[in-house]
Amino acid sequence: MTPAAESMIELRAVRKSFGALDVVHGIDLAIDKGEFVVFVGPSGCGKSTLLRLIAGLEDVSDGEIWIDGRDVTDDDPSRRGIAMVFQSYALYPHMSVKDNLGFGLKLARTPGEERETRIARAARMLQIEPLLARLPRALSGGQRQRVAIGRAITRDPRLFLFDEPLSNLDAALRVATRVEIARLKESLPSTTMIYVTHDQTEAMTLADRIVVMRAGRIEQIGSPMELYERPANLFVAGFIGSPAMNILPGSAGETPGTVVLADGTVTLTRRDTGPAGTSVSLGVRPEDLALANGRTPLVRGNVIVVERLGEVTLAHVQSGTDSTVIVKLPGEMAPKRGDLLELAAKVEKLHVFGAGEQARPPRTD
Amino acid sequence: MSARVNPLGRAAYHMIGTVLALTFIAPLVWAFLSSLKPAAEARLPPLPPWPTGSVTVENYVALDGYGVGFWSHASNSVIVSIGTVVLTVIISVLGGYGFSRFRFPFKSVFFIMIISTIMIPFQSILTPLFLILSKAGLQNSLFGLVLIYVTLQLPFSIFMMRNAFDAVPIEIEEAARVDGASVFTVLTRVMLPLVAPGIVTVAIFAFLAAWNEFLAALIFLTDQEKYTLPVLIVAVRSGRYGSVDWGAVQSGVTVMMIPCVILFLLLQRYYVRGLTAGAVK
Repeated sequence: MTPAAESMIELRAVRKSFGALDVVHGIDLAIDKGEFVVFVGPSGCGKSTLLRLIAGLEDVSDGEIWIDGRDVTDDDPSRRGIAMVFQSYALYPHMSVKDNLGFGLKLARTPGEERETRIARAARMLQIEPLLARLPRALSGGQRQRVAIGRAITRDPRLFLFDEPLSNLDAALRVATRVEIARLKESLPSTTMIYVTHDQTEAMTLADRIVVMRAGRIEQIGSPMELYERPANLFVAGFIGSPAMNILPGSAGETPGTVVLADGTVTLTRRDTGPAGTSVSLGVRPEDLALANGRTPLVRGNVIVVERLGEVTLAHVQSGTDSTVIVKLPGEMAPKRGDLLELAAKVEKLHVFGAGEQARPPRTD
Repeated sequence: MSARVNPLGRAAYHMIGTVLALTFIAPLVWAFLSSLKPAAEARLPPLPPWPTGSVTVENYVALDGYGVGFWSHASNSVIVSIGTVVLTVIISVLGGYGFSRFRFPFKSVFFIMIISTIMIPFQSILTPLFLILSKAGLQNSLFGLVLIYVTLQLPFSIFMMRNAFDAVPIEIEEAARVDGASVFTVLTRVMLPLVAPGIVTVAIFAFLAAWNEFLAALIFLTDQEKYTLPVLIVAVRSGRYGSVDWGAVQSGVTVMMIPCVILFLLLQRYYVRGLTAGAVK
């Protein structure tokens, strides 16, 4: 059996357990050539393990891994045609930057001249040319990470794996390196990349497709905007977007598509809320809420915390439903603690989650 | 050192350091100076420690007259020591790597068993060792002696090498494997340079142990021409006709020190790093 022609990677019912502990529960996933896929999820969700399974650094307990039309399930990492960037950089401490870049090529017995060319190209691309003679210990964190990326580039891999490459960098450097990785992706359009992170901003900004994972399972796969606009369940809704989506408990109303919140507020949605009385959760993003200004308010309550971030102001409102609601207001607005706010949202921006925390389908009436 | 150091404290620091250094080097210098005394003077009470009359190398010449000649005993010692170092390093690198990196059943039980053999006094197993070696036909052979020394060195050496490998982050090894290196290449091209201090420490210990060991050599070697230097020195000390040739003993001691001192001076940089490896990550 061969996978679809354009698939670079195909995971088939991949499982991994460490002893009695199941870390990855039967994952099926196909990744296209040239795609940039981000695995995202909280720590311990199995995203790094899944990446290490693809790299061959861990053996699968069950299932198959195909890379570029070949079953590599039992292949050594050295035979998978991949390159990997580690969180801790993992540069060879006893080799100069240049030797670090060229080590993989040397192992592949690439002729010296071509080796030089490729090292020079990678060094130019990442602006590490002045550092070539240095040892890793004489580099800063950001420089080390660039060398680690360079080491992966020189090998011209079919598949590029990143394991939380920005976690050890400080905030400013993280943003700069993120942009560099985005540029790298543009300059290597045919290289498939898989990137693991727990940071939803990195996932949103870099990915063609995001794979959201929790407890060894895939919660949802989709483009960043798909996940943002149509989260499949409460978990994805809470994970993608910052601050997280507000969740208001309630139940389905008599009229199809309405939700009755705990404080008695009735609101219409574009979702099929199910039989009247079923308990559902209403989700609304902080940025989708605004002052009601005459519209029927969805949330009414007193401000308990105000966070002014400059461009926006985050107000935490104690709603009548026992849950705190966060609203993103324009930066110039500064409600005070104790102020009464009435907030409303456009009907198409309301999400409804039903049994099993799954998103409810659109209304058909 | 900062500029504001108390000059008095500094003087005390250097003084104490000097006294300690002199204390340690005094016996070595003493032995060397005595070896330059004429044989008759060397037998007298050893004060002053330096030769009062003429300086002579006659003791060194005399040393060569014992046994089957100094050089053949020295080469026995060199063969045994180098053999011990080579075998110990090879086995402990492989063993330490295995204990550090691989998961296998009863791993910690095996490791504790190996380490716990350090607690067995080696004199207490001399008899069984002797029986085993003669059964294997290795008694009275330098190779048999090497095997004994390696056995005794291994627990410490494997422990040392496991710590050395433990101190190397696993990601470096994984990066090399992703870069296309086989397990063997990872070990030789990436890991060995990183655990070099550990290897040097293990090698120095193995060399010193084999070079200076006396009891096992005395018991397992029966032919005089196979004696190693420590056995020869004792033969010299027992002397001809019951008298001790102190000059020859001191010259033997001096000659035996030379390789140890050279080795230590060459490798001390790595040696100190190796002992502390793994202490702080």
